[in-house]
Parts: sequence; C-alpha cells; structure tokens
Amino acid sequence: MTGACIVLPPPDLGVPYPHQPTILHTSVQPPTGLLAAWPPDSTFLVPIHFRDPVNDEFAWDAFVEPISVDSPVAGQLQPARPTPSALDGGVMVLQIMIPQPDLTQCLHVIVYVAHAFAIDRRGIPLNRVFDSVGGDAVDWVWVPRGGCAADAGSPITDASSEALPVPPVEAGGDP
Amino acid sequence: MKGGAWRIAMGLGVAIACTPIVTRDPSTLSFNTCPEHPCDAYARPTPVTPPATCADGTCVVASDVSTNLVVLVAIPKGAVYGADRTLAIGLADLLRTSAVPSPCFPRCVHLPLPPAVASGVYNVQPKEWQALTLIPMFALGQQASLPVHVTYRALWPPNAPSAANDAFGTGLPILPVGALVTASPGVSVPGPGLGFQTYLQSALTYERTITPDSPYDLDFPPDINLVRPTQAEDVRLQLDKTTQTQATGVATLPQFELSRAGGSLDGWTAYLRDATTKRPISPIKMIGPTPAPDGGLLLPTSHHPPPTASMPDASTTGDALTNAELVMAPPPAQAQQLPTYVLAPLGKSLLAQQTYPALPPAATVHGMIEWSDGKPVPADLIFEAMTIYAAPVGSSNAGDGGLGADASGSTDGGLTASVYIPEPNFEFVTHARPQPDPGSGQSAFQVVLPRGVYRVVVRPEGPSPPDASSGVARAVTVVDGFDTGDGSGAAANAPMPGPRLLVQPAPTVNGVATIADGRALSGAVVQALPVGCPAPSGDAGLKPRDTASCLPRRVETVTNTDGSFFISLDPGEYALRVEPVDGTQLPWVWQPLHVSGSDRISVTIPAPVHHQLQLADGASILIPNAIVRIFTMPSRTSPAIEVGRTIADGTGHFDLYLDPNTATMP
Repeated sequence: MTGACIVLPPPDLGVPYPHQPTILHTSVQPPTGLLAAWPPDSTFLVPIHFRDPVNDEFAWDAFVEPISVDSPVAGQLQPARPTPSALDGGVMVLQIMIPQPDLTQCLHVIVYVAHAFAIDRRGIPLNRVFDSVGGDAVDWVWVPRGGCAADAGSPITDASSEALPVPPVEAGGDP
Repeated sequence: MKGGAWRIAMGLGVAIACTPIVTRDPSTLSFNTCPEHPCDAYARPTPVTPPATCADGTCVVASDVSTNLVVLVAIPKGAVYGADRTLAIGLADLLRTSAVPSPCFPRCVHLPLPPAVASGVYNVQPKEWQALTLIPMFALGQQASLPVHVTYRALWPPNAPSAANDAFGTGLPILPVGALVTASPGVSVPGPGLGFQTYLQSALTYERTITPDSPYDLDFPPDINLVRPTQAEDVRLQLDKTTQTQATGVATLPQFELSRAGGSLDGWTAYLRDATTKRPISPIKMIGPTPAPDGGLLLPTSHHPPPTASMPDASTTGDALTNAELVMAPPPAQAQQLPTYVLAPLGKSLLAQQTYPALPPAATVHGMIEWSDGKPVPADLIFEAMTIYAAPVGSSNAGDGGLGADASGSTDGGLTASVYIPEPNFEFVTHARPQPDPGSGQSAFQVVLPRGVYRVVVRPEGPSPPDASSGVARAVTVVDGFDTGDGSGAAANAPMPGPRLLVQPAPTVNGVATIADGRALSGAVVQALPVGCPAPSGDAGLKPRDTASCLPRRVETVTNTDGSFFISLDPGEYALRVEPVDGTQLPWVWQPLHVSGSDRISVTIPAPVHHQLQLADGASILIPNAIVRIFTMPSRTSPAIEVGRTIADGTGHFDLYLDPNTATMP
C-alpha cells in the first residue's frame, strides 16, 4: 500500500513592511535650535535610524527659508538605500552641505527625511510632503546680532565661509 | 585676509554647488573584508608602512598613533555631562585614556567630562564708570554689574597662545558657546548680583568676550581675554591705556580727533578692532559733525593682549593699541562710494589726530563679460580694492578735491591737479550684476568705483548645465591688478573701460579611485574642498591675500562603478577628499590638488588603521549616539581637514578607519 501526502507550499515570505526613517534629534550637528554660527565647513550632520536597514529606503531634502521656499538647496528626492553602516546599529549619518547664505537676515533651515516624498499627478516628488509611510524633520534657526531687522552693514556678525577658511595672518607685533 | 572682506557670504551670487547624491547599488560597492579579498594584495603606500593583515574580517595595518589628528566628539542632548557641547582632544591623548582601568570593553576611552563650570560677574568700578559714560550710576560709590552677553571661543591646540588659534576659524567645528545671564531675585539692571554662567571643556583655552547689552555697549567696551574655565570668576572692567596717541608718550585712554579732508564725518562710525580677528574691541561710536568733539572721540578697550615673548602673562594689561586697528567707516548710504579707512599703528605710533584723506574723483567702470561658449548666465561681479588712491596726509590738496567735497558723494566737478598715491589702508568691496544678453553672448556691467587697484572676480551662478557632468560649467574668473588710475585731470564719475573678463569653461579633472588591492572604488563621494585662490593674473605684483571672493567653489561627485570620476572645478587650490561609502571599512583619503587646467589624477585607498573603541566620560558613564569626527591639525598654511567620521552606537561603541598616511601628510 503506497501512501501519499499532500504538501502545501509554504506561505510567501511577504514584502517587508516599509518603515519611517527616524532622525536622532539629540545627535544632530550642529545642535538643533538657534545656530551659534554657520558651520565652518557648511556641513550639517543628520543621523538617521532605520528599523530595517536592509530593506528600508529614504529620501531627503533641505530648505533655507526665506531664500529657498519652493526648491530645496540640496536633496535626494528619489528613494535610496542607506549606507552599509546602517546595518550595524541601524544608524547612518547623512551629510548635507548647505553653502553659507547671507547671514544678515533671519533664516530657517529645515531638513526633511522621508521614506519617500509624495508624488503629484505628473509623477514629480512633492518636496515637503511625506508619503503614507511617513518621515521626520529637523530644523535650525539663525538670528543675526541685533535681530531680524539688523543692518546689512553690521560689522559684528560672525560669519564663516562655504570654503575652508584660511587661517588669518596675525598682523602687527610686539609693541 | 583683508578686514571683514573674507566674511562676505559665499552665497551671494555663488552657485549652489550641491548635487543630489547618486543612488548607490549595494551590490556594486567594494568592501574591505577578508579573507574574501586577501590582505596581502594591498599595496603598501610607503616602504615603511606595515603590511596589511586580516583582523576580525577586515584588512588593517598597525601604525603608531598619529599626533597630528584631532578628535571632535559632539555630545548629544540629554547626555549626563556636557550635553550639546563639542569636545576636542588629540587622538593620541584620547587613546591614552584607555590605559585607565574601567569596566568598558574592549577598549574604553574617556572624554574630559564632566565639564568645567565657568561663571562670573562683570563689574564696573565707579572710577571707570564715570570715565566712560554720563549715564547715572546705579549706586553712587559702589561697583555695578552690567547686563552682558558672554561668548567663549575655543582655541586649539589646548595651550594656544592667542586668538589667532581660534578653533572655529581654522576649520574645527567647535561652535562658540554663549553663557546664560544669571540674576539674583529682585536685582536691578544695572546693579549688583548680575552674572553669567556656562560649562566648558576643562583644560582648554578660550577667548572670552563679555559684551555689554544695549544701551551700555555705546559707552562700555567688550572685555576680551584668554581664559581657562574656572569657578566663580569676578571680572572687573580694566581699561587699557596707550602711549601711542600722544607724542609725549603719556599713557591715556584711546582718544582720537578724527576729521575728513574736505568733507564731513557726520554719520560715520569709528571703532578699534583686533587686527587678527577683525572683531571690534571698543564701542562702535558715531562720529559727530564737529572734527574734534570735546577733546576727541573716546574709544575705550578692555582687550587684554595675547602673551608675547616680552609679556608672557596673558592677564597683564598691555598697551591698548597692541594688535589693534582704528576703523573709520562711512554710513551705509555712502558705503557704495567711499571706502572704509583702516589704520594700524606704524611702529609704536598711532597719533590721536587722524584725517580721512581726500580721494580723487570716482570712476565709472563699464565693460563686458565675454562668455567663451557664447551663453551668458547671471553672475556676481565683485570688485575688491587692494589699494585706493588717496592724497598723502598733510598734502596741500586736502581741500575740496574729489569725493571729499560732499557727503552724498556728488562733487562739484572735482577737477584737481592733486597728487594721489595708492594706499593700502582702505577696505572696499562692491558688487555688480551684469545683465546677460543672449543675442551678443556677453554681459554688460557698469559700476562706480573709488579709484584704486582692484581684484575683479566673476562668479557665475548655477552649478552646471543639464548635459554636463558633475561640477561647475563656467569657471570663477579672477583678474588681479585692475588699475583705475589716479584720475588726474578726470571729471567725477568719468567713464572708463574695465578689465577684459573672459569666462571660460571650468577645467575638468578626470580621476580614478582604486583600493590598494587593485579593485575599483565605486560609490565613493569625491569632494573638492577649496583652500586657496588661483595664482594672480595680470600685472598684480605681489600675490594679494586670499579672500572669500576669489576662493573657488566646493564641488562633490560620486565615483562610478569602475572608480572613475569626472569633475569640473574652478582654478585654485583644493584638498581633494575621497570618502568611501560608510560601512565599507575603508578610510577617507585626501591629497592636495592644484587646478589651473584640465588634469588627470588617481587616488588610492590603503588598508586602514582601525580603532575599535567605546566612548565614556570621566566617570565611565557611556556616551551613546555621539558623532565622532577626526580632523588634521590646522596650521598656518592649511585649515583643519576632516579625515574620518562615525557615530557611536547605543552602547557607545564606534569604529574608526583611518588612512595610515595621514600622520605624514604635510
């Protein structure tokens, strides 16, 4: 007598559920809030945590208001995988270079990190709108000495440069 | 660099040089893993570099700990000690802390935490108060505490002798720290009991600036000193005196009788500033319409000079004009036509009587920017004065000549037979916005300039056209030595042609990045970091000092799967840095790059030196999620350059992969 068995195929593994990337706000550099100075190398560092660094993707963009309101000054609008460093601990550090703008006016710097940005009818990503999975944001504020209505000619505002600074040559000498 | 000119915002008319990060396919990345990729295949960068060996699945080399590297650790918000502060420590010093027995594993390094508390009260004695202001004193005969804002700027290295070693100014991102103002309940302003407090890294030297709040900043100077954080410091205003303003050599507070040849100083401002940092060290005072108000304009300072060979003690109050400059600045309405006058003591003399010299009639400079591809784009045109023609002080033509005639800048025709010589004691920068004309393929401009010798810079907008590879399409163009002439015999605002400005395509650098075992390095970020302006052009004589206006633009790109990269750069000096993808266990590599024309370069990524560490404070409390950055030591000729970066995990563990060559790089 022969036997037979009916073997059911195993269930599909399923598509991994996407997760929202999360910014480690406490580790952002410069620290969030009021900027003491524009970073000397114009570099903002945003650590991002991924729950599933193997499968998760992310997109990001950055704005400096009021200079750029509709178009980001930097960004990666198409979703991409995090760097392999995220596999160890689930965190990658996003490096964003924002050239120093005119620091005689008040500025609001905002970085958006999303699983993906929502798409409009033409298939174009919407810069500040997260998709249904969601995203996170971090911001900084720059206020010049004297407030938001400071004269453009104020000599007091400390300013660094997009380029690497050249060490100043000490003038004068011993009295 | 000249005065405040290097602080001109690079964003004004400068291309936004960022490009979106190219999506990297993980399958195309090259990892430093062994034994899949044998370590003996790694070529040694130098004969003395040890061979690479496989340790924990990574090819690494042993190396003596570099003394040329600085570690910056950004302490996260919420940390037990030092939250929101960036600590700096030499890499060798940091690694030495692991010798201290601790519960960390495998190798715990300890940051200098907890931080030191810095606090104090800024007091003004009755004698100084009455010498500086007519504001009634809070309590007659008693000292008063002023409302102030206090800023600490870290110096590097730790025992730095002067503000020239400002860490932030040399590229180390240690942000200035502001102190909170503290007040006892019920305290009056001003009055007793008003102080300031913050916490700083211990054993570092800081430049502390205590600036009185408005309206006291009009009369009281900032107190500037080099300090180490200490508890409860009682800071007293100590006014500096000078012997350099009186021919008799009598020590007095800095006081100047200011005038202007053939004109008025009504609405102008004057102040003293530090010649190195260019920051004000005295109140910024309006100059009245009369030439010598009440014996002179008092510009007090409390600017304790840096130690020198003859004065090694930083706390000693020296001559008020040590390393100082006198600035006479026109009001904003005239700043587009009149340069700022800057005077430094010549030898040991800066007399109290100073006169803004007569200037020749301005010139209206017109011209065209030629675009070699015939496609003009918006650009920022910058004219930066190297020297300004001015009448010698005391000359007979100090009367109604040129721009000295009318505060508004208009003249009566200004025809003079005066003698004007080029003077370096001025600062003047102006911008023009040439209008592109697609039909002619050129851009026209016109600008009114005080007569002088200028550096002219064209900074095209826009990073690149859609069909170009990474980088800038049209190069920043620098022309040195444009001389307007002294205008002898010329009418005011006489037209004259400008220099020839030809904007050409940016030179391209073709490069390839490979790992030392021969594999291509794909997906790596290649950054060209500007560090110097191009060589001077034209008849410029000595090379002018670099300023922000002539610096090339920072550009980055990503290597292709075969390791190749193609990048267009402005002429100039760069640090070219290649950053392998984070997580591939390969080190960042940088090398100097001089760009004058198109070039080919190759970059080789060696096997790294590997440090696997756990971050803790002085009490062995672990510090999770701190960003750790490694920089080369700044020097007189080079800023600090970042050569590595990572983030500690939730238990404070982090890995550093460093180029073994970094310690020997110039």
